[in-house]
Amino acid sequence: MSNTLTLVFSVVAVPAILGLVPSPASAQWTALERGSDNIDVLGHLPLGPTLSVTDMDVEQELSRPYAYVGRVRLGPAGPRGMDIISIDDPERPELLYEWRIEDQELHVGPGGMDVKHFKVGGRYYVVQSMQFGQGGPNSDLGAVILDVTDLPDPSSVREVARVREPLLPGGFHNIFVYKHSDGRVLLFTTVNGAYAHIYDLGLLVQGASAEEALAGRVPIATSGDAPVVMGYHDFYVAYHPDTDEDRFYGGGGGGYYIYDVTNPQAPELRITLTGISGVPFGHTFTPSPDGRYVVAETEYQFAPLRFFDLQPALDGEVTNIRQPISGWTADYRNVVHNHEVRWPLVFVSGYLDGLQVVNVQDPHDPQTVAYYDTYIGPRTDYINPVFNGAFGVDVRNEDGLILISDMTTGFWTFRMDGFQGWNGEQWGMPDISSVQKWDEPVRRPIS
Amino acid sequence: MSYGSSTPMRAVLSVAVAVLVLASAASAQWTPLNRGSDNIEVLGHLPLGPHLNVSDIDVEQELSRPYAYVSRMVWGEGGAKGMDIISIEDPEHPELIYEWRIEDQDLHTGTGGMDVKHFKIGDRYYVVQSVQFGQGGPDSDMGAVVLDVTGLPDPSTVREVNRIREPLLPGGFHNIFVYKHSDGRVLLFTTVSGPWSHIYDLARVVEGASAEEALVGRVPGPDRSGGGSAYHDMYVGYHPDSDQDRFYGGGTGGYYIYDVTDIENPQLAISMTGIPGVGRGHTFTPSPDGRYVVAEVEYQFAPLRIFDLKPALDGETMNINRPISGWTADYQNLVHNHEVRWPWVFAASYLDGLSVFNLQDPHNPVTVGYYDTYIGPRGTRSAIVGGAFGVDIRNADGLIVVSDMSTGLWTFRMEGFQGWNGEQWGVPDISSVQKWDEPVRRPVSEQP
Repeated sequence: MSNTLTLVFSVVAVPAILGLVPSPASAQWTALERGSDNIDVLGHLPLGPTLSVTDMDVEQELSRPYAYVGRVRLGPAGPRGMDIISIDDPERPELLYEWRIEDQELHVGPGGMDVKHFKVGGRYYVVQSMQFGQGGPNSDLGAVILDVTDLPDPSSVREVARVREPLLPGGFHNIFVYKHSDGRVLLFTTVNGAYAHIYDLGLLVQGASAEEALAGRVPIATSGDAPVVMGYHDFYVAYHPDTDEDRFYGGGGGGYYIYDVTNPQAPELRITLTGISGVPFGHTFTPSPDGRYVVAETEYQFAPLRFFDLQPALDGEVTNIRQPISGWTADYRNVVHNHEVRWPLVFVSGYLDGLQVVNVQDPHDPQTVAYYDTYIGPRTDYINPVFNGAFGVDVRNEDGLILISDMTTGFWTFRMDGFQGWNGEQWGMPDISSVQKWDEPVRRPIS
Repeated sequence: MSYGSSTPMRAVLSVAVAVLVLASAASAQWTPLNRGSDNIEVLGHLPLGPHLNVSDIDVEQELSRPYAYVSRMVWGEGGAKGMDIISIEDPEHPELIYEWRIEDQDLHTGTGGMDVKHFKIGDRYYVVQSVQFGQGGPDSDMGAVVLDVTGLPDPSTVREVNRIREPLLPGGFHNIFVYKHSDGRVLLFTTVSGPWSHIYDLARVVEGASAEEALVGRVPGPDRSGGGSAYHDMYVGYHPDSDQDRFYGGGTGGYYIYDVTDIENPQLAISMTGIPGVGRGHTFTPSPDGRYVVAEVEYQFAPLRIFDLKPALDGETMNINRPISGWTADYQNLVHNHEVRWPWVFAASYLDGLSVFNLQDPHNPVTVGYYDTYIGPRGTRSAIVGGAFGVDIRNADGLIVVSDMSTGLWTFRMEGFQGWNGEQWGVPDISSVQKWDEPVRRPVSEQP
């Protein structure tokens, strides 16, 4: 390369790759130019009617190339259940199996919401959260668990458990599977109450009832004498190396809450994030691998993702944090939804704005570094018009495959230039993300 | 490849330049070297003193009375507490002609001068300056001071005619609005530290009446169990379709519209509560016909929200809680006060300076002009409060004035905006501007 070209690349290309070029204030994409140049669309599998897809999860072992997608009826039609998709060839995703709740038309409510896979005792499972209304059957059903060990053979898939909570009807809106430092694989769930439930998945797959498998409850902190009227909406659980604690990060009524759940039977409140302007109800909430920064969503039009620095609370100077250090959104007129943190990158399912990738190397100044709009259709009135498009996102750490579940356009696979996988230690961080290491004990970072 | 002007090299450089230009153009539009859009002309600029020492602004509307009033508050580490009177006879050379200051400046705690409005009663002109002082010093009961400014530009003629005090509601008036009511009275609407907005008859005030004697009504507000003010800001306008005087208030829980035709008996007409992201409403301004409203809420990342009140005006609902659109200059910051001159909205956008957006399609607001009056650092007391605080428009000639918390007074013109009269836009000629010498009248469409 000539000196001049080198200079040009230094001035333009390098800052662009690093996200140092100012990020757009409004939507960058058009119907003809839906993505940034550094995003390759590998595959796309439409899954059916509009507003019939919710969250997704991808297995992490390359030898098990399966993705799980929740199916709902939020629009005029659609199945209630879950799809299993083979990504053996990510350029040609293939629908392998459809789990559906029986008597579809008798059920009311959305159906399959959040989904997570897990491994217990050498076998692989997937747990699909469910939400049904009280005007039909199964309003007490929170989740269904399938044994998927023998995929890709669809005839081998079998249902092993249904988690029911008759006293807390309405199902589980979100779930999170966490391999606890005590070795158990735990299912954290939202419930229709002022707490999150913790179930021992090892017991559930052996046929235990929800009551028998309930291993703990995470309360939601109150603010003074104010009554708690809303529970959790979403959460994340991770090992926190600096304190040697298992930590729960929950968003819900009043804001966000961090609990020590090392002993699931006696969670202890560590940090609150309440009194945040514009955040009456927290939603998805994810820490950086070291637990210092958190990405916090709240679910209404115009709300950006907010970034908080927990250092003053981690240092014991305060117990509540309410001032974000920065914010990011794809288009302020919309709202961004779920996200996966692979520090310093945050992969976002941005509803009407599709897949978005944000660099938070400087947490005070998040920068958009890639995007692809998976939904270019109209706003709809079936539900809030900003709730359509990319609902869920996941990342396969082993090879950097990026996956999106879009409420209307279905299932997408992507690659991003220069992102060939993720291991936190390569970034000077603990190798901690939503990905669980089933066959390894929890371990400290290299440092 | 040779260096210099080869075609491939030019192509590469063209792409490089295009990438950088497009990238910067798509983010905050202004840079220190290019602070405004091409259609905004800076006429004049008058720095007024220390950092974070300016708040709101009001401009007289008669061209023969070229005066702007600028509040002086202490939000930073120092400065004056009071109000400045500035001559804009030559808008390219604004001139400070009078400073009203609270006596014993250093004894007073709190911010000082906040909101300011001029008015006319009989043949005399006045300005009312709201003030807020804390209880650690004198005058915590003082809400406003009224000056007679009829004899301007002679500063020696300015005289203080009254101070409005509310001993039972200490903390002063954060915002005020002057409205010529359809019954002919000139009324002062104020926030107070209580669950209402107060209404004072300004004619009584200038005659020396006490606050108690001049108080002619209260607009109820939402319950505020924690104390403090129910309302943060308000606007009052005639609503032609219902033949009502209507109060538009932002405060605890959202926004509220009252019929204040009978000021002793305000009636709630429409509420806007349960809006996601709006715990406490701030500035709140309707379109001239009262169908649309622009609603501010005061925290980082919050856009101005635009609502269509038609379902409530038609009687289909009493409460509106979903905006039809939103607008902001830069979502990382916050926009503040605004003046509606339909279809334009002129916004004092704090760190983003003056912004002008067009609401011809209320579902799709579009930025049409801007000038960044503040390019300094973010503050330490608040990262987003700084820069352009207040904005006003002189309808007769389209002069735009901005008060910037740190850089002072600015005067602007926008290409193609040579004044505003609502009827030229097919809407009633109604804005924050009061017509002191005319009776309230119906829009052209309803005149015989």
